[in-house]
Amino acid sequence: MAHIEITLLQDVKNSDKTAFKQLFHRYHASLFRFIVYRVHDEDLAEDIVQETFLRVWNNRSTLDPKKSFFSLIAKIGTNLCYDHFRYSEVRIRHKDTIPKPEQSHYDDPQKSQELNELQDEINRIVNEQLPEKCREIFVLSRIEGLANKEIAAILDLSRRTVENQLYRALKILKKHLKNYL
Amino acid sequence: MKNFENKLDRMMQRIWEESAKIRLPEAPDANDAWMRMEQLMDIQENESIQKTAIKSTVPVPFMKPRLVWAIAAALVLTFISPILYNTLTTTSIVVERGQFKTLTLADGSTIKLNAESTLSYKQGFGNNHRNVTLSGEAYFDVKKGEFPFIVQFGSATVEVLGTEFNIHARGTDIDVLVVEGIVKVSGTEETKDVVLTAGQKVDFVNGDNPGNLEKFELKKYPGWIYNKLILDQTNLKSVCKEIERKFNVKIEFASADLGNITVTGVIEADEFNPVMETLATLAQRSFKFEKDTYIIY
Repeated sequence: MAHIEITLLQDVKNSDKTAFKQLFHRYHASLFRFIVYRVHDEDLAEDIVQETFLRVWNNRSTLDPKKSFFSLIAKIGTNLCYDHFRYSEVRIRHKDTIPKPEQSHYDDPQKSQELNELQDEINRIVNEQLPEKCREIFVLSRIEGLANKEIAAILDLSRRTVENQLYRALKILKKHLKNYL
Repeated sequence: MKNFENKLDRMMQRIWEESAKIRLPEAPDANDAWMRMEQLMDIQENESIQKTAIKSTVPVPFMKPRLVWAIAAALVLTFISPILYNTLTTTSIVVERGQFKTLTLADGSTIKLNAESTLSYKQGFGNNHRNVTLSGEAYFDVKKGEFPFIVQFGSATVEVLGTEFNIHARGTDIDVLVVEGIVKVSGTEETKDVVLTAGQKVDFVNGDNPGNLEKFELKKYPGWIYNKLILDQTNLKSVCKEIERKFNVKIEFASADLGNITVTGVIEADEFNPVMETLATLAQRSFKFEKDTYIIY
């Protein structure tokens, strides 16, 4: 983990509000995407993100600056998701999908959207063909850009499992993308 | 990671690279989110300070209280404690001139407060009531809740069940407009209560009671939350008052009758100077800066 991050976490632990603001700015967007993918409701996701950070602040004295911060907030956030919904209810009500960029209501409609056809197709296959856990790991890796080690920490899995799931995802993608490559 | 990538065949490598370029879904603006976060942190801090404050006002009994002292103490507490209790258990959020705040309340409702406005509520909001008091201007987005959401402004109240509406309550200049949902507006006389639905607004007569219902174009109001000034034959005097408040400046007219000029249009109100320039153009006048005041002539 970056050295600058360890100092930041240490400062937050010492109740430095400015440091907390920086931390918030760094992780707000990725936590939001992580949660919105689970609850499929942008307003609810934003509420959960806020509550997660609030809990971090309230329990700042227990922060371990050497541990992965995203791991911590992903865990808190996930628990809050379970509190709000019974997980199975979410699965029945919505199809698990990566929120498509066009559907987000935070989008600036004036930005030009140059969606690569291949990327579009990858997006579609990830949403429709990948099994749930596999998809979550793939999204964290390719879309959030997390390292395998970090993903393993966040989801409480072994690194081996993470790599196997990624490999599995690529095999499925390869099978469906034969026409595009 | 390198080890893993080496195991992939060419096609998989291509997919691996391409998938990293997929556009990220948008997240809400971090600055807005931080403002809400700060608000939540402040509310929490206030509530815990209030709890400690209440604890410390419980009087410690004297060892051997003399009857006279005991009665005097009891009388004093009877007079002071309701006021003290009220102050200690009320949370107020004040927005100064030139400022703007978005609050998120415990029930999930959000309130955008315009410049020079104050919103207060008593302890237990969300748990045993949803009553707030407003002076100034605010835009409400009320979530459905257990208790009716009631806003008191001056001697008037608005009761809602989950809706979006704007209250403009400055002195005797009061109006309410509804963007979504249903809202009941009451003044000093019960018989004059009105019920507003989306696309309707009502002005108060002399600041006492709601007058007649009017329709308004939903897309345009209320401009201020989108940082726009929407003018529909509005006189310069009123516009300048809003501008003064929003940017915390002083504006005067070279001659009083200039204030009566009416203007129509939509002004982007992000920064002060462009706003003044556009306004001057619309009114076909000019403005200058003298000492600490802007003068329209």
